[in-house]
Amino acid sequence: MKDPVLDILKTTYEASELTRALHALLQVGTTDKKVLASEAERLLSHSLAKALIDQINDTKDVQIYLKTLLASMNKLEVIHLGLAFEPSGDLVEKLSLWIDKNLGEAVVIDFELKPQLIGGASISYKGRYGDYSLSKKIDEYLEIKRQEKFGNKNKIR
Amino acid sequence: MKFDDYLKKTGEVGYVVRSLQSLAYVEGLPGAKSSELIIFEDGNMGRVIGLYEEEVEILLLTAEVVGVGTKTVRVGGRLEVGVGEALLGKSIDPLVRDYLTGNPIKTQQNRPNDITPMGISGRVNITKPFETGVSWVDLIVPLGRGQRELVIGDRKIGKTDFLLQVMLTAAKRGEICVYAAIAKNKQDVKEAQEFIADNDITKNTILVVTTASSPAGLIFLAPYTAMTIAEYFRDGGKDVLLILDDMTAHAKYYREIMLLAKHFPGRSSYPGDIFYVQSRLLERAGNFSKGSITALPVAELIMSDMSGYIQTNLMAITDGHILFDTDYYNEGRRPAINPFLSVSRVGHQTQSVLMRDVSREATSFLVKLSEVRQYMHFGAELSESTRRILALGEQVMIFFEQTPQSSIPLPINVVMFAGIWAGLWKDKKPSDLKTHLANLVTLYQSDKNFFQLVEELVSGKKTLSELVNAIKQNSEKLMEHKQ
Repeated sequence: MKDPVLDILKTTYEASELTRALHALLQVGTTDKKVLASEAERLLSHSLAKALIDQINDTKDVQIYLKTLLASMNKLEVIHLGLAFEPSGDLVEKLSLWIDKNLGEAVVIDFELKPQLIGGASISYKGRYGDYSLSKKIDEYLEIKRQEKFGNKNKIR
Repeated sequence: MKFDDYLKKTGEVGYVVRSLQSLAYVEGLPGAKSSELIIFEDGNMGRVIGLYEEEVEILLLTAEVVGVGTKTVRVGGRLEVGVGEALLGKSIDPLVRDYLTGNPIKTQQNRPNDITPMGISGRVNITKPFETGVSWVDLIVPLGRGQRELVIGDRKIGKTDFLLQVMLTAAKRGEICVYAAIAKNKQDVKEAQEFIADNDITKNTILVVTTASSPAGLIFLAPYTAMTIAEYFRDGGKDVLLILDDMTAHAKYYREIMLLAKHFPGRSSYPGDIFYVQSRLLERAGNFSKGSITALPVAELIMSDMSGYIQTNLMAITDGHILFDTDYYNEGRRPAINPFLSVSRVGHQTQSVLMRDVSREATSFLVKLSEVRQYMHFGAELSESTRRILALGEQVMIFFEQTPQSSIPLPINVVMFAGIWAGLWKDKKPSDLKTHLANLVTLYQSDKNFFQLVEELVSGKKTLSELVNAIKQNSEKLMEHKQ
């Protein structure tokens, strides 16, 4: 069963933020839930902190829980998404929901800004790469037109 | 093709998750194959050496640090290097870039660096001799064209000087010479470059250079690149001399890479496939229907210990070895070749009838001389015949002495040896003998009449005795060229 804290994670930025916080909490060394809760609020964004604090309060052995959660962070799959623009929070949310629904495993998104794509996206996941960008479509269209007009001559490499 | 082009072509991408010196571990690239070429997004290259469930292990071909998170793409094929006439006279690195500037060199074609050696169908018997210009080798341990002969000895004993001498002789004959400097000092590389330039053999020579500070991946590739270049010229109908200096360093760097990769170590911590790695390289040399590759790999000994792992491996792979002896070196002999412990398994079959007889006589005389010298230690009075052998032996040893810069053509070599055998210089001072022999070599290379005389003396003779008789009949003509 997926940890509720991992459910909140959408991007690799959030994942690295959580990893840093978990390391810091483990270094604190205490099992006092109040101390851990205040540290979590200091280190994390509100939603992540809240989810983590809820789990800390529900669990018996906090140290084991934190270590288990940290180990789970290493098993997170990353999907690399290249976009020609910076995505809004709303878009990130929608993409994250789609991924949760369709991939069904703990996946976070690594966004990469690539203006050269013009539109669409480039996606790489588990070693596979796909270019679904507008720039590729334009290149393909121009190549077809070039072939029609010039044949194989003057092919730009 | 660029990084993005390969990305589109293969549809696969990887991300570096761990980076060690010489190695990188990549997550992704599900279709990666063993020995496949990998390109990083910053333009650096690597080669797949291990495939695991979660990661691909890559040997880096760069000294630069590869950061975690760097994107990688596979090329869909093995590493290929550029080959062609454009490389003649150049000093290059194993990726065929200028050794000093790092600029790539434009070449006619690309060839895979690591291929399966040719089978028996394309090979022919070794029948032609390979003249080295070094008396010890040409007379006692002869080589054949297409032979693989190991040059072995302690460090700083004259191996590289010998190899440069051989390269000089081969290049002056018009053969292509490829010299692979494997993890050498920069000073040694500079000296080799100066030797080549000073002797005007640049247009026939290619240097594939890696120094001790080069990345381990490039050092590992250097002999393979040199062999690939040699194969190109062989396929063009040329005879090629390939020098791999030295293969023990190659083995050490391969060991370093494999230990870093935590591959299970074998004997002396070398990886279990070290014999395979070096034998598949050396098996690519030989005599073929189109041309030949005569390979001279070099092995370094530690305190004259010939039972070392890599050294015995190389002795097993090659068709003989030329041993440079420390004791001879300390006695002042140059080159310090030990004729009794050197072997040529193939060279004798390429010799003419005369040369075979000369070689046989010279070798048995050297054995007798060695026995007599040992007998001298007892301090007993020497008989007349013993004194004659010792006197002749002294002259023969002077004959075999050779400076590192000199190359002596075989016909004049044989005539001089036969002249000593005939007693032309009997009772002469050693210094006079040295001077006269040097003059004869110079004369042979500069005077047409003398050249003709020597060729006539040698031609048609089948035994040393016949040659000695001919020399005795022409002794005046030979001795008039004293000064």
